[in-house]
Amino acid sequence: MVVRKYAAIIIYVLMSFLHTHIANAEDTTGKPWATLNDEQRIVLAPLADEWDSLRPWQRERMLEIAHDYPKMSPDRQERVQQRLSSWSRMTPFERENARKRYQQFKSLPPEKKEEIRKKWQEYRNSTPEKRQELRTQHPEIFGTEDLSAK
Amino acid sequence: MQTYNEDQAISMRDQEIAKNIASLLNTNAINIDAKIASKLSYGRQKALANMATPSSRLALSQHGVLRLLGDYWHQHRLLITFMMCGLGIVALLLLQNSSNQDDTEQGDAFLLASDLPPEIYSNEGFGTWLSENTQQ
Repeated sequence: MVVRKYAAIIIYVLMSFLHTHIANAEDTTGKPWATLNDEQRIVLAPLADEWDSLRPWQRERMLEIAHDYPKMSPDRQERVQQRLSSWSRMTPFERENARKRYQQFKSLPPEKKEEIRKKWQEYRNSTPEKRQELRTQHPEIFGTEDLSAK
Repeated sequence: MQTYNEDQAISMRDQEIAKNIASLLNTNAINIDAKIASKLSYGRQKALANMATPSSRLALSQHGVLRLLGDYWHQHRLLITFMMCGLGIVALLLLQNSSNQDDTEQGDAFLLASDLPPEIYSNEGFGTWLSENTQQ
């Protein structure tokens, strides 16, 4: 009798825990723009027009970005907002590759990272003609298409 | 043949002596002190009881802890099974949660806030350059 009572309590606690866990997981998927809170709307403002056409898993990823956004400094927050639109237009394959390479980039020696940062600074501060020249010199970094200087 | 007869004679003599001893003990048992008789009786009963079920002191000195756990398991096996399952599920969910948090710390927001734009990271050529420079 006592065993059954304890078993019932344990099952109840487990069910509550699972319910909360599942509710939290579902909470972030498939949210229409109108249901986002003010903070999320401010962060994801560049995506306002296309938000409701995004797939649930894309929205989930974007909401994760909004979740991490307050942890960043103002200049990094600005970068995130500038890059959100182009990020949302990339294919899942491109995004996955970008994630892998971002992790690789983080593991580079500091001098190599600095080398790339300098090249990028030079590129973004250059004229269109100079950028074309840099793309020809360093296609491995800048690719072949003009990158928006963000 | 002679040896066999001698052995048999010794054995019979031993039995005779044992009978005499038992007889002497029985005769003198009547004259034994009541206090001593009581102590002997108590000792006999205790020895018989110990033969039927080993004492807890003995069990504790040998496999006492295991025995106690075993007894507890038999009494509450359903409860313990539920508790183990519950703990397993909770541990799994907590582990999943913590790994998700790790992912978030290296999530897309940090990639977008990086020094380089995401277009550079998605460039195939940059991937090759990274592979070459990471190996060095």
